[in-house]
This record gives sequence, C-alpha cells and structure tokens, in this order.
Amino acid sequence: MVRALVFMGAVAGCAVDRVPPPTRPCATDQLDLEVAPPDGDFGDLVGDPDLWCGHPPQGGAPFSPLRVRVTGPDVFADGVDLDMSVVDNQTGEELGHTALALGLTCANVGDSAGTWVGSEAHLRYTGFALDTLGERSGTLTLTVAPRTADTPVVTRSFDVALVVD
Amino acid sequence: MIALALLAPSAAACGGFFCNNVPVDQAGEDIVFSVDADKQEVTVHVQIAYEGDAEDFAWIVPVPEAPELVLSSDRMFRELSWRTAPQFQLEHRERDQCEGGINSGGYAEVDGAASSSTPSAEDGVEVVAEQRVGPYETVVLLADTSAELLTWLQNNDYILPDALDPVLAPYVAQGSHFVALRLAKTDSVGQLPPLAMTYPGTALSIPIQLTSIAAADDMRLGVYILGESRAVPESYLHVQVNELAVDWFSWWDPKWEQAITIAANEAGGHAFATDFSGSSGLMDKVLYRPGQYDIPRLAAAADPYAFFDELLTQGFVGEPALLALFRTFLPLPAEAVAAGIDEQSFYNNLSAFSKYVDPIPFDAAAFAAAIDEQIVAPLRLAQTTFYRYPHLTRLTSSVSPEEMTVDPTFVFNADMAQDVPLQHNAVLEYLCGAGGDANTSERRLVLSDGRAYPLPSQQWFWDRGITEHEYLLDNVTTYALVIEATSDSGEPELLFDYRDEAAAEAEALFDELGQRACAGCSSGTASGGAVALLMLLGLARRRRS
Repeated sequence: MVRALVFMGAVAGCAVDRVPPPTRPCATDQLDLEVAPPDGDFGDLVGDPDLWCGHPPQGGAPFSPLRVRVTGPDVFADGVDLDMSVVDNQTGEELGHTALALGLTCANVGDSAGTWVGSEAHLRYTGFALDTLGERSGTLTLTVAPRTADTPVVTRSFDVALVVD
Repeated sequence: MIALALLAPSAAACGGFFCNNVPVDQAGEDIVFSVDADKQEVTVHVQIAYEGDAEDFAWIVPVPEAPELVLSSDRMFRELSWRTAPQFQLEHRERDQCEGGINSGGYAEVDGAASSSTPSAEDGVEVVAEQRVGPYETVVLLADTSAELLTWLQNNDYILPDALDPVLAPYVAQGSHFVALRLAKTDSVGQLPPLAMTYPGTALSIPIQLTSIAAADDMRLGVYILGESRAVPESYLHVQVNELAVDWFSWWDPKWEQAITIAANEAGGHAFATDFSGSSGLMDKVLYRPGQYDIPRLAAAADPYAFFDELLTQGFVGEPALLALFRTFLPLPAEAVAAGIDEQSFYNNLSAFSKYVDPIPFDAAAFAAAIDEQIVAPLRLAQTTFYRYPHLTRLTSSVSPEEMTVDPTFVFNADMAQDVPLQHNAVLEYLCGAGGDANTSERRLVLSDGRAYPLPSQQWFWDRGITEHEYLLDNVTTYALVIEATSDSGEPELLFDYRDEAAAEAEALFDELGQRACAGCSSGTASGGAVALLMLLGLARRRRS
C-alpha cells in the first residue's frame, strides 16, 4: 500500500492524504456518570429528587426508564455493564435493581456532546406493586464498567423520591 | 404453475417471541401495531414462523391486560414487506455526449371457533381464559412469579426450557398477564398463521428480552405502526443511514438492511431506522375487497376436484394456511405416502391421484368454513385496519441476543416531518466529454444530499473484478449519518451528526483528485493525471482492505 501511495504522488505531482477516520472527541481521562429521569434532562435529579416510576407498556414489574451518559476513556465505545439500584433510605430495603449491558455512542452535538450516550435503560422494581412505591425516598446508585476492560468503573448515587402517577 | 404456487412449501424458520424447547435461532421478527386512541386499545399482529412437530411448539408473550385473540393474515405481512420496502433508483446521466450512449439505470428493491373457559387458579397461576384460535390452543394466564408460571406451563405440556425463567422475570409482577400458545394435537403443522392480540392501552412495546433466548446475531426487527401520525422509537435511538453505504449498482440487493445493522451498532445496538412513513393508503384494496371471495360457492363444491378448481378461480393462490387446512380436510392417505407420493405433488394435482382421493370422506362445507375463518376473516380484518388508521410507519432495526437488554417502546410524534418516502435517488454522471466512450470515462455518484463521489470508469471495475459498491464503501466513514433521540413531541434531540463532515470528506476527495474543475467543464475530460490517480487510489484501497 505504501508503495502504491508513493507512486500516486509521483503521477499526480502531489501527495494524497486519505480522509482520516473520525476521532472520538469523547475520549477523556475525566470520569463522570450522569442520569436523566424520563422526560427530564441530565442534572435534573441533582436539584429535584423526583423519580417517576410506573407500569411498563408490556406489563410486569414497575419501572423507571432512565437515560445515562458517561464521561471517560475510549474503552466505553465498546459498551458498558450498567448496574442500577434503588435502596429505601429508611428501611434499607432494596426496592429496585437491574443490571444490563448497554451500548454507547459518542455524541458530537447538542447538550451531550463529548460524552458517551446510549438508549434508555429500564430500572425494574421487581417484587413491588406500583402503589407501594409512591412517596418512598431512597438512594439511586448507578455503576458503569467497561465491557472489554476492568477499569475504569464509575459509580454515582442520587437521592430520589419515587413518584407514581 | 398456478397449482404449484397454490401450495408452495413453507419456509423453515422459528419465529414469534419464543418458540420451542430447543431454541432455534430466529433470523427476523415482524410485528404490526395499531393504536385506537378513542377506544384506548392496542392491537398487535405477530407473525409466527415455525416448522417442526406440533407437540414441540410452544409460544409465550407477556401482555399488560387479558387480550382478545384472533387470527391475523400472513398475506398482510407479505404485502407490507414489499410495498413499504425502500427503493433505490440510480439515474444514469451523461455529462456531454457519450459515444454509443450509456447503459440504462440500475434499480434495486428491498423486500423485501373460540370459547372461553371458567377461570381457575392453581399453584400461583390463574387461568384467565382458554380459547381455540385457528390451529392454536391458547391460554391467558395471571402469574405472580416466573417460576410458578414456568412450572404451570411445563406441567400442562407446554414444552419450555428452564432457561426461560430469568428472561421471563422482568415481565412478572402482581397481575401480569401472559398469552401462551401451543398447537392443537390434531393439527399438522403447515405454515402457521399470524396472531392478533387486542388489549386495553395505548403504549407500544416489544418484549425483546424474551426473544434473546432464541435469536440469531443481528436479528432483523421489522415494526409496522398504524395510527394518526408518524411513529418513532422512544426507548431506542433513531438513526439516519448514510446513503453512500447503499449498493446503488445492484439490481437485486441494495444492502440497505446491512447498512441499518451497522448503523444501529454504531448507535450502541439500540436504534431503529425509518424505512417509510406516510399514508396507509398504499394498502388500499390490497388484502380484501367486498365480494372478492364466495364462500358459499366453495361450500357447494361437489367433490375435492371442484373445490380445488374453485380455490384457483377465487384467487386463493399462495395462501400458506391452505396447506394446513388440506392436511385436515383431505389428509394424504398412507397408501399414497407408501407409493412415494409427496404432499405437494398430491395436493397440486389431485386428479392425477383420484384412486387415493376418491375414498377420502370430503366435507366441502366444513373446509369452506375453515377457509372463511382462517383466511378470509383475517384478510377482512387486516384490510379494515388499514382503512381505519391514516398513517403507516415502518421501522427497522437489527438486534443481537446480547443487545436484547432493553425493550423497544414506540410513540407517535405529530411534530416531526411526517413523510419518509420509499424512493431514494442518486445520479451517476458519466464524464465523457464530447464523444468520449461511456465505458472508459470517469464517473461520479451524486447522492440526494448533494454529496458527490468520483468513480473510475466501468471498464476499470470490469478489469479488476470489483464492484462500485465495494470501492465506494472505502469512503463510508460512518453508516449512521445522524443518531438522535426521538420522543412523543417536538423535534429529535441530535446526539451525533456527521452530515457536514461527510460532505466535507466528499469535497476533499474531489479536491485530491483534481476533478472538481473538470466536472464543471462543458466538454472537457478529466486530466490524465487525475485519471491515473483515481485508478491507483482505488487499487491502493483494494490492497489495504
């Protein structure tokens, strides 16, 4: 290939630089994990602890659909294992827990530019009826770990108040 | 020929949300949703592709409420598949005159007696309803735990593996409903008809986690949604596919679905592309017209031969459900099997086997009634659905089992551009100069968004045995040109936008090759240096790959 490129330069009288592959502007040494509640924005849970939970469209255990975005190195491009849980602050009871694999893509525009973003993730409150969850306060803890490496692992916790429609 | 088409052999595949005890890798799944906002009802049609022994078949799906179950139409899925398939038209255009003209443009197209029983409870599982729907024995269950549900099903001869327990778990809660199907013991398996389920609600979701136990890598997921406006993914992202990844030069496969697969993977594995959004009128009168079928005339047929002729006359050609009905109402005699006569030959040429046919008791009225129930009524219902809802959206994704961790949900969005046309166009310009030869002239491909890519001559590709598509793929930096989050209102939230970069890359390519100036000439050809550069660059690319 190198020989061919040199020859091309000789024919055309100039060197040809191929278009470089797009860089991933998301890759950074800084680490962060943010979460957005359904129909909310990233950062909303910091100022307002209300976290909606309801019945999923297909039935089953109550759920909170969440969006996460991650700041960190390029290894997050291979996806993450996401662990989500809500623990009741008063009783210590685990109200909800879901672990799932989530693919991420590097956002290059908008509010999320420079971070790794994915689809929604659904936190399930298995074993709880919806009407028993309302007005319970707890700690939402999220942990992401890269799927193809041991580190970095990023954990963030948020105080939440479950809100049932 | 017509007779052969009437009873074509069914395809071997396993479909539905879950199939049988031995997970069969499912290559694709198609689902049709409609939402009646006034009645607050959702209807979901699911195609169930299965071939195997009847006793091995079991199928289960969670639903938010106890549904009404009826047969749906396989023909609806086939018609939808090809009528809403994106079409890719490459217009061949001469810049100046080519000696001897140019080849015509390439064109490629992608396909593309119920009764309810008294509810009963047993071991934590309540039987809400039991119903025979066509060839299916159905049961609607209420269960509190996945273990109890699975145990009940296994104890009642639904052959389901223990491995189903963890993937059922997210769908189990107090009051969760499940529809389970098996085939009636007396029925032979032909191509199984789709099933339609109607239940209260307005939310649309696919319980994809259940599918993960029996799905192939990059399983195609086709979703058709009927409603008042355009539908978009809610829990998954939405991608706009880079049209440079399309094989504009293929007559038979534009490789659109492959492009969607890669684009969805670039979006993290959870994304849909919109194939079509527009009027549901493209299905007008396609499935059923009043007076099209005359069931009493079928019922009055004097013998199997007359019945068969009447089937042909009325246009029941290519109905997969017919084979199963023939097996029930005119079973292939053991003597014929012993004589080496196969099923397809027998049914497609009854008169040639009269010595086997004549002794079989034949009930034309019962056969006709079954055709009315299992073929005509579903067609009538499906056609009515398309008249009722003005807008149709087709979304396609590709999901591997390890990516089936989040259920896709969908919503309607009346704020976004409502139409996504089927037709995609590009232009192939021949830079012949005055009187240049079309086969040896350089060309350029111009996409609908204005991006233009230089291409060596047709002869260049013939000499090297590679295709234009393979050559152009080297310029595809990203298959998802746009990745965005869509919701029930407003414009999408852009997450990734590569449109400007892609346009800049295309322009840079022309700059490098010195073609831009030439392309604007009235009669000139590209410089010799640029031609050599173009060809050698292509050669280098091939070596690199």
